Amino acid sequence: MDVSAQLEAQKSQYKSINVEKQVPLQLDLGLLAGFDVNALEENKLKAETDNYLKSYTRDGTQLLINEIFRLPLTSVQDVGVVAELPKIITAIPREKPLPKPKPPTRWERFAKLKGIKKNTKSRLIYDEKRGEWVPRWGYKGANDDGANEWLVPVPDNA
Amino acid sequence: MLKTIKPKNARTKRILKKREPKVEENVKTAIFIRGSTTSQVVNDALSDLCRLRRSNSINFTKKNNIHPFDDDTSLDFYCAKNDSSLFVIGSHSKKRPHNLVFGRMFDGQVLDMIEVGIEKAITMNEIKTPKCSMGMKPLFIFNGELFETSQVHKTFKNMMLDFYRGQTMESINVSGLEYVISITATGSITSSDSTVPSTFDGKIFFRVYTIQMTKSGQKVPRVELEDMGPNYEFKFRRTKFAKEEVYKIATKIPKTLKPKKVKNVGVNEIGDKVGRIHVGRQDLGKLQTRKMKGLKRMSEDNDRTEDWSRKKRKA
Repeated sequence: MDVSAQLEAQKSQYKSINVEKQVPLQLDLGLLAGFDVNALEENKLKAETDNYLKSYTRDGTQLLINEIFRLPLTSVQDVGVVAELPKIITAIPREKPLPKPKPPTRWERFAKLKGIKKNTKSRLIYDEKRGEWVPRWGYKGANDDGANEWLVPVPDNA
Repeated sequence: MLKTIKPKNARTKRILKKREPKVEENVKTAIFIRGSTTSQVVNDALSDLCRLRRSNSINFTKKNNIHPFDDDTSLDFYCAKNDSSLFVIGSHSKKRPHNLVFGRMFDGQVLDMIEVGIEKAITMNEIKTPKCSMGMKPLFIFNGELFETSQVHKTFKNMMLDFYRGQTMESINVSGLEYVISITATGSITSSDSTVPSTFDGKIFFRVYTIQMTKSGQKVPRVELEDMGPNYEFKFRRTKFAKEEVYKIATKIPKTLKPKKVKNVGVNEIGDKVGRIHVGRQDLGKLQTRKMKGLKRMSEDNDRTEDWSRKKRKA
C-alpha cells in the first residue's frame, strides 16, 4: 500500500521546514549559535527593516532547530525530549586563570615517600551466600552473623 | 583596592571557595553601571539587558563617576567586589549620546571593551507581546559576513555569546528553546572610516524574538518568531581589544578538559573504524599451527612411489 501520495498531501498542508541558503550556516551547537555569512538584501533592509530581519532570522532559527533535532535525542521522564549538546567550539575566554596545583601536604609527601596508598573499602560487597550486592555492614548487611536467622540448628552442647 | 579576607567562619570560607579559580567555572556575573550622566534611553537599555540576563546580573541604580576608557581602577574594584567578570556601563553626553560600553574582565583586569551608541531603541515593555520565561538558554543567530572578517565584529560576537549564553549544559530540553537573539551586521569594512557619510553603513541590529514551534507534519517543527524585544540599533564607537598573550592565557583549555586521544584507533577512507594491534616479533618456524593429517610429509610414501617406478621399469 503506497501512502507516499497521502504523506505528501499531508506535508503540503503545513509550511515547509526546509530553508535554502547560498552558504550553509556555520553552527556551534554547544552554544546554540548559528553564524550566517550570506549577504543581506540591502534595499529590503532599508525599506522594511523589522519584517525583513524577522523573516531572515526565522530562516536561520529554522536551520538551527533542524540541526538540534538531528542531535541524539532521548525521552526523559516528566521533562520531555532532551537533546545532547556537543562541546563548545568557539573559544570564549575564562573569567579567572586556571587554578595552580596545590603543593602536597605533609601527610601526602610522607605517603608518597613510603608508598602508602589510600584503600577505601566500598560500601557494598558481593555476598556469595545471597548472590547479590549488599552493604558491608548495617541493615541487611553481609556481616550480621546469623542473629536474625529464622531457623537455627540446636548445637550439641545445649 | 580590596584587601584579601582571611575566613573567620565556615560561611565566609565557603564564599571564598566559591570565588576562587576553578577548572570548570561558575556562570559569569554581570554588572550594569550608570555613568555620571545618563538618559532615559540608556537607563531603559541597561534594565532590559539586565532582565534578559535574569540571574547573575546586578543592576546598579545610582550614578557613578566612571570612565572606562580612561581609568580602570574603579571598574576593577566594582568587579572584584561583586565577583563579576562582565560589565555594561551606560552614559550619555553631547559627544557620545546614548552610550553603552560592553566589557569583560580576566584575572581582575579589563580584558576587552566595546563601546556602542544606541541609534534606535525599543524596550521590552513597549512591545506588547508575551515574554518568555526568564532563565532559559537563548539561541543565537549572527547574520552578516562582517562577523567573520572584521575584528570589532568578531569581538562583539564573542562578547554577546559570553554575555547571554547562560549555564553550560550537556543536554537541553527541546521545549526550553524559547527565545532567539539575532544580531545582524550591515555595512562594509571601510565603514569604520567616519568621513564617509552613509545612512546605512556600519549598523548592528539587535533583535530578540520568542520561538513558536508549530506543526510541520514531520518530527522537526516549523519555527515562527514573535517579537519580544528589546530591539536596538547599535553603532560601534571606541574599542579596546585584549592583548594577544592575555587572550591566549584566558582561552587556554586545561588538560583535564581536553578530549582524550585514543591511540591506534582510526577511521579509514571508507568510514570504517580501523584499529591497529601491535604484535611482538614472531619466529615463524616455531609457530603452532593447525595440523592437517593429509598434508603430512611421509618419508615412507615417497620411497614407496620410487619403488613402484623401479618395479615398473623392471617389469
